[in-house]
Amino acid sequence: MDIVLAQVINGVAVGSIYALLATGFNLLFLVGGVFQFAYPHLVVLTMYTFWLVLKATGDNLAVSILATIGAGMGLSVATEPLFRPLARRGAIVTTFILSLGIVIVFSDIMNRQIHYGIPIGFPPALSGQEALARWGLATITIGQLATILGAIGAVVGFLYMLYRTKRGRAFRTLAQSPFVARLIGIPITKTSILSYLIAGLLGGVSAVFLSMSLGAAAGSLGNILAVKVFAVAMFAGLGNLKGGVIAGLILGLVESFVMGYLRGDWVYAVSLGMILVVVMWKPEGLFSSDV
Amino acid sequence: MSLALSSFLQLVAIFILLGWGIYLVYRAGQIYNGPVYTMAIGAYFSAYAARDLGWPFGLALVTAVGLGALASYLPALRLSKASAFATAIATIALIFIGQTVIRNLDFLGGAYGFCHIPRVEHLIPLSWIFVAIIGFFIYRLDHSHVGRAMEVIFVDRDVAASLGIDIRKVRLYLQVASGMIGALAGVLYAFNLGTIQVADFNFSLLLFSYCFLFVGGSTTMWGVLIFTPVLWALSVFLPQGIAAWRDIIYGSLLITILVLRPNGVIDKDVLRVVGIKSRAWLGRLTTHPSTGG
Repeated sequence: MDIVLAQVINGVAVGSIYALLATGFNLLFLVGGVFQFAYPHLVVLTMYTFWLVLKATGDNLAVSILATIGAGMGLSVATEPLFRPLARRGAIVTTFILSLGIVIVFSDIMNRQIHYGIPIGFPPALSGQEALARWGLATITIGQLATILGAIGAVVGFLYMLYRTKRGRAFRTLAQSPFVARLIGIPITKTSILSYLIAGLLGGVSAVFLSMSLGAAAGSLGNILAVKVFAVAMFAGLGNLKGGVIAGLILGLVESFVMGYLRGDWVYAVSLGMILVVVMWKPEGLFSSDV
Repeated sequence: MSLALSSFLQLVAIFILLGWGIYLVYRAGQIYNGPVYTMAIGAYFSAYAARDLGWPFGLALVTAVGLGALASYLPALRLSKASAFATAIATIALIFIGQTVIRNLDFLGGAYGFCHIPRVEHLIPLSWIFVAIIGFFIYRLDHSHVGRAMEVIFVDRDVAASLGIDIRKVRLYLQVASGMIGALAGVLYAFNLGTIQVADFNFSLLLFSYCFLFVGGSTTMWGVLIFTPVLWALSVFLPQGIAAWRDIIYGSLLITILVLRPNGVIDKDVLRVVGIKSRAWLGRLTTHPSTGG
């Protein structure tokens, strides 16, 4: 029983990061009108920024976290002008292809240009491995608790902004109908850029939690995360924000249990296999698209 | 022939086939990554059949292509009805599932790879003969009623449906054809290189194929044919200092082309202009001054 509990805690910790990533991804899809496959690569590049700032500031956590979040927002907004002409035309499939170009560039930067392509390692103290509570063999560490609370908190904060504020109404209007948004005077470009900023903010927060959870990063991590985020978004239904959160948690739990009972290299196959079955059975997603 | 040139010719042929495999289904409005996982199936099966079962190359090739057809037909029964992105993620999932299965099969070499694949004489010219045959097939397809149906499906699925086009059937056939082309590319890859590893059939292969297709031109078959050797030559024939930036050059080119010219360098307008100019030039060549024409 405590082994199952340990898997659940691991799964929720990992799944909450997937939920955060899926939220940023879905936000760009809904409001920005883009299929930003490079979003997870941007997050991994932000992890590299976190590592560089930690080294430059002598492991000053506060400054590094602020710089990381700023870098996430900056990188995200920097890609907006590339997508703008395609998003305006509604060429969503072409935005996916364009994001592949960004993937190629980001991957090369991480695989060759930073740290000679060698994977980076974060200070062990960052991961918060001290157990906070224990139930038999199952423990919850400070790092896991911080990740779960932080990620879920970020998502809840974002959903609050989306459903309870004027800016959030503008986002939802733009997602529903850019034509109507223009008619009622919502500034399309400004709102779209703001969505990139918020996606970058969520990405920066994800980068910090990923650094804490994994303790290391490499260029190939972007590909792995991109496929998982893509899979979570399709599993839930493209653009379904709440569904993406649930799907992220489900994926995290499935991975945790598979890792506990099968060999490590089957994790990917089983979790993607699950996604494959859902996508083939219900291509619009389990929860369908929703604003 | 130098090693660099023979390697260049081998890989360009394989990338052209992969690019055409993706192009075929893209023209019917789906993002289909099937050629990469059927390439893995074709490569491993043909290598195993030739080395361990003693099959002749021809039999191994035909059976591998048949397996590629089956491997793409079964998912196509559902994926032919799916959206572009559903197809994309489903086929990406199949790539990773295929990699995991192969990695866990000891008789296929597992993570260490499969080596000592028998050599086949004249494989480079044979590869290019296959490129010519597939190119001819795609040219005929593009200029047939199926090609026109693909065009309509790509532009507007609702109009295609109202014209009586069976979108599901068209996509199913194209996905199977794409899978067969991928398996063929896999066989040529395995026998050209002599050693294969599961990591060869990965995301980078997919990204390069997309780059060559969408930079060259995604609305005609000629873009892949002309730009694949041009872009691959960057990494082979340029000085080492520039070739090291290959991936950034590819990515930047892809981004630039998609922003400025979303259909790629060679699109139908370019072909129309080239066709007009070619006909005018040929007309001038064949006109006799004495007839005043």
